[in-house]
Amino acid sequence: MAENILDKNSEKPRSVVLVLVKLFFSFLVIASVGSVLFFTSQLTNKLEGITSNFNLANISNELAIHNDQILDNQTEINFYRYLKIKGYFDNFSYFGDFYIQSYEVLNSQTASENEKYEARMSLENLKRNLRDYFLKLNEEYKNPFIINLIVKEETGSVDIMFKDALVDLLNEKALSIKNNTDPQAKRDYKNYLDTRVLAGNNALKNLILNTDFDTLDSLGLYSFIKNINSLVVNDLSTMQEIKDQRIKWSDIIDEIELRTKQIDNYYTQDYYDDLGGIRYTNYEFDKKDRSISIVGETKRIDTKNFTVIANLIDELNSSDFFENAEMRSFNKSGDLDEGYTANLKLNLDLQEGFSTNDMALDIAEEPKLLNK
Amino acid sequence: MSDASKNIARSIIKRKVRTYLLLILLVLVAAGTYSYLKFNEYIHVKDGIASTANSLNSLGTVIVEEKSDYQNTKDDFNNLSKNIQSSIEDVFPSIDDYTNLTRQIDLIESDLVTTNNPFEISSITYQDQIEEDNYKILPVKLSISSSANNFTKFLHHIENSGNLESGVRLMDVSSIKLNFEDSSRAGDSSIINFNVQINAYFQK
Repeated sequence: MAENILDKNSEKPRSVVLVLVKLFFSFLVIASVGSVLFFTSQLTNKLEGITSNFNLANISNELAIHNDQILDNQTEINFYRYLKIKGYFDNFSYFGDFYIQSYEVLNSQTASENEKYEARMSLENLKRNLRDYFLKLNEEYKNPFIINLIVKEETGSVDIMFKDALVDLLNEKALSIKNNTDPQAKRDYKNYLDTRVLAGNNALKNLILNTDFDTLDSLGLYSFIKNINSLVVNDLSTMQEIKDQRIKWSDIIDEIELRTKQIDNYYTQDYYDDLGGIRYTNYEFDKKDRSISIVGETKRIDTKNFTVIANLIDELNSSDFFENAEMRSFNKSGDLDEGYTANLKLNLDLQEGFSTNDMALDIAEEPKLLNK
Repeated sequence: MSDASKNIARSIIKRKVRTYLLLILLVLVAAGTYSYLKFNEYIHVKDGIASTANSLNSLGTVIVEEKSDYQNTKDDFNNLSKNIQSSIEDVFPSIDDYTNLTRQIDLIESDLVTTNNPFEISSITYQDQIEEDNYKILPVKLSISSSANNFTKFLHHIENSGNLESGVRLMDVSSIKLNFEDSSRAGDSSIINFNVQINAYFQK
């Protein structure tokens, strides 16, 4: 078209330069069109209809296929790695369950010395087992779970892409055996579903990678196991959640008695009728309200029954276990010859956030409250 | 052709040459820029193909290793899984399993009771199930008459329940109401009458 316009009114004599320039221009136009066609066919799918007819390669597609294969392969690797991690966590939780049990027995105010001795012995063995599985977990988590794909454009988080691919694969595997009644298939089905929770659980991964197991003392390991259980979802962690919510009423009762002994030295020694003191007739404990009600009486040969009760209230409130111990109405009866008796009705609460499990002490340390 | 015509013709040729040169320049700039950018993209993709091909080769090896490694440990995992499931079925069953729980409570009673150290469960009453997010609860009320010593042991049984090794159903004490028959907690011989509400847990 340009040539037509330029050729308008042209003269017959021709210039060699003009011919060369025209040829060069034509060459450039053809080369440019060729360049556009080539790069469009290689880097986009716009000419797919033509290139596929001629069986021409499209490097962009080839890269996309490679990326898909890498995603598939890495997902398969992650599949096996996470199944191993799940297995190691199951082992860790399994031995962790025993460790927590033994640790709490060892630190219970009311467990017998025999029970404590057995608990102390088993803790060391359990710690060795736990260490083995911790190291295996640590090793597994050090492996790469993603590969940075080479893409033409950013397509979002690679982490999420690999995590989603793994979850999809686990769902697919689980779905394929969902209705299979074989016991092994049932175990595998549950295993696949539980493993999904581990995929992309960075908090759990970081906890394993950032913990130096050998520096953990018994209380540290006890807390670490509980921390792991709070991040892993399986039957054992659900059971641990329930156990963590339990209140050790035996320790609570023991604490009431120990505090009472601070006020009445002869409490528990059956001297009440002869020497007076404190005696309880009813206890009520309620886990839901975290409340305790104690009913009893105090007997004195002097007149200081109310002082005894006031001291008892202060003593109970000074305990790490209790708060809000109170009794607003005092009354007594009797005389100096027979002594005075005052009724006791105390209401108190367990301290906010208090758990008897928090009273855990170091293994080597004998619980002080037991030295009675 | 006259000189004047020749001059006009030369002038036209020169104009044409200039116009073509301008077009050549424009096409060169446009096509050059386009080709340069696309060529870089092409090289990037080419390098990517070479790099991903290497990655695919190494991933292929890793898949085989990981699969083999997992297969080697799978039996151990399966055995543990069987043990855990078997133990869990006792302590954290999939149904409320109140009959087995009743037998376990009876077993606790027979373990604790002696002539000098009484422990008698006079009633067991199961209540309606409660459903929580991750589990279900079977509440059960017990009326018990016991020595102080056995009372503490009984609490220990409940507090330590749910241990996989023991096989005792996972339970906790929801509430306790107790009174001392001879008006004293003092001494192990005193009798304690108590009503206790226990939560027995099972899978959802």
